[in-house]
Amino acid sequence: MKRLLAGLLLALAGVLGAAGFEWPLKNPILTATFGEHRGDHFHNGVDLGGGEQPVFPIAEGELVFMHEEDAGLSSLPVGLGNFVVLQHHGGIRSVYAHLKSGSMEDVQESVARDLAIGVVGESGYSAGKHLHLSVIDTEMGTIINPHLILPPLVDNQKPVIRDLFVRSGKELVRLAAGLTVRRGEVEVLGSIYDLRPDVSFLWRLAPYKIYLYQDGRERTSLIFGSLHERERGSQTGVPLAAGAVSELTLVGGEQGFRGVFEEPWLYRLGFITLTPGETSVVVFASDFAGNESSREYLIRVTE
Amino acid sequence: MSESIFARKKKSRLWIAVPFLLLPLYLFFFPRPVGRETFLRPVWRLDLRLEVAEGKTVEAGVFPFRVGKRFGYVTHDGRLLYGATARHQVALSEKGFINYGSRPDHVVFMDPGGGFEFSVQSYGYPLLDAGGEALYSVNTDLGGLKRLGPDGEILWQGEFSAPITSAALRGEECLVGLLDGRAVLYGPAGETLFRIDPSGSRIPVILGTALSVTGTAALVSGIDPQKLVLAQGERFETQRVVELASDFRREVALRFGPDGRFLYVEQENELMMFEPARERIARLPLPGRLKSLSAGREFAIAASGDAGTSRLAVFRPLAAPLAMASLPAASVWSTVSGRSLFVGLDEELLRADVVEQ
Repeated sequence: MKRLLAGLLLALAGVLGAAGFEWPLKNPILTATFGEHRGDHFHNGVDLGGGEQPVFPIAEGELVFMHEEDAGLSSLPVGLGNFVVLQHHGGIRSVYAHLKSGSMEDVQESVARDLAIGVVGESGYSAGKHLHLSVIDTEMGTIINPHLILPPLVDNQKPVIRDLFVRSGKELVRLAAGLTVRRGEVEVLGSIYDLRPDVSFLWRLAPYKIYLYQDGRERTSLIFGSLHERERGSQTGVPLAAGAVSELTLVGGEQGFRGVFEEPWLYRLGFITLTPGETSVVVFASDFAGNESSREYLIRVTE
Repeated sequence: MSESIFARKKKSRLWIAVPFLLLPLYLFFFPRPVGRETFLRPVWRLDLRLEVAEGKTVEAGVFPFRVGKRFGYVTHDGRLLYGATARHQVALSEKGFINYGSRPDHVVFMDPGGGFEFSVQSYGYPLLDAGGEALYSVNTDLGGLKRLGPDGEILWQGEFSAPITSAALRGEECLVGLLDGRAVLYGPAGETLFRIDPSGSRIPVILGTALSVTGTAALVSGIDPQKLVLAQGERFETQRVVELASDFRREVALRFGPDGRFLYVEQENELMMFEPARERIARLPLPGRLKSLSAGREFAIAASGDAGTSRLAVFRPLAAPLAMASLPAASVWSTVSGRSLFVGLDEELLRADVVEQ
């Protein structure tokens, strides 16, 4: 089923990619990816750096909504700062956030691909000048990874699987060669990140896919392709977080934010059952460009 | 015979003329106003550039204000209890405020005198209801919100597959409007009281929300056409749709008056005043974007304009304005308390009372 959904996502990517969407910056520098840890929720888009520069729509479209800080009355505090929402063909909406104040004055109801809708800024919740881009598929009711519809970016660096842990009760044990653990159900956690190809210092990005295998069988997968909204009372997937009336979960695995992250860059990869003897645990991670990494451990299980 | 009749008629005509002759004399000796005149009487003016913090000297009759980046609490008689500058933004209520930076991880609730009340962890931006009874944290990507308790515990939380475009609070109830055209009214524990997905527009989107004290929910929804949707009743089963002439692509200001009788809707270069029960509509010309709107039971005050100037109007609901003025102020704030109007203009706050004589 998960493979089917992943296949559908790729098919969607193919269809939408062929529809002519382009990156909103001339030379996009990816500084944050879809699905990253944002304190208490998933990062629902990508961040693009490269300094102050014009922002172009990902395709021609129509203005649906815009917000300018300190202009007029607002019922909400807006962390997106100055932002613009456009509607494109195929039910796709794109959100461009943290734009420079006063740079959206020329936005018309109808926008052409080659006319700037603003300038990269740092309005709202922002630690520096960047563009936050998120993409919504209104027909599917999902927020999708912008990579799915935008042209591929050059990336030849593999994700890093730094450490794997098993947790039994409250104890967190780092996996190592020849590790012996007691039988029972344990949770596997992984310290995993992807790297930016254009910087030499450590700048972590989220991987696109993470799989956990035990003895050659897939146990869980985390695919950061799209998020959909599950409501309280929904019969599918893992239960919602405490107090949640609705929650964004990964399409396919149905994991919500708290089901994915232990802390930033430490992923909850799922539970495995250990029976006496030896068991192999493999974690596989890939980025959107298809670069792959894996780590394998042989665990000795005692009574 | 005919002469005597003529003479009597002449006498009676004189009697008719007597009151007309006496009236000027009466008005001269006992003058009375021929009509009631309404005017605004200035009461006080405050310089908001002062930084004031009186600590925990909270008293009754204090109300919050925010003019641009300046905010604080003032008494009706013009004493500035607290005055400060917003770090990034400020959430204000009658009970206290949260002044927060652009990247908060904790928010600190202070009383109207600037005294510490409590601090809670929050990655989002705070939103307080006017009475200060409910605290929400809005995700900085507008993708969700949480209702927080005084110890920071999450009472309920919701995440959405479309950004929040508008929200209205009424005590512990919260009406959320979304970019995809849905609106949901949540109760104190996050229970869904009402959900609507207004259809019929080419582009679905919620652009404005309001809740009345009488339990009516109002929405501005859709593009092409844009509609005003009113829902009321125990289960919000009675719904009324008014097609609007506007074509906004941004949040639209929408407010009920304090008794819920009148609804004020921002329109292109005007304010629409609507009395749903009688289906009466009046329009007040207000050029530019609406900057401020506050309605009391008798009077309302609104301001619109561009970056450098503001046009202020004081009016009774559904009636022609009592006063209009163009002012060289970029930021305008206003509120109405009975017959007292409080207006903030850039760096000053003033009170004027509506007087009828």
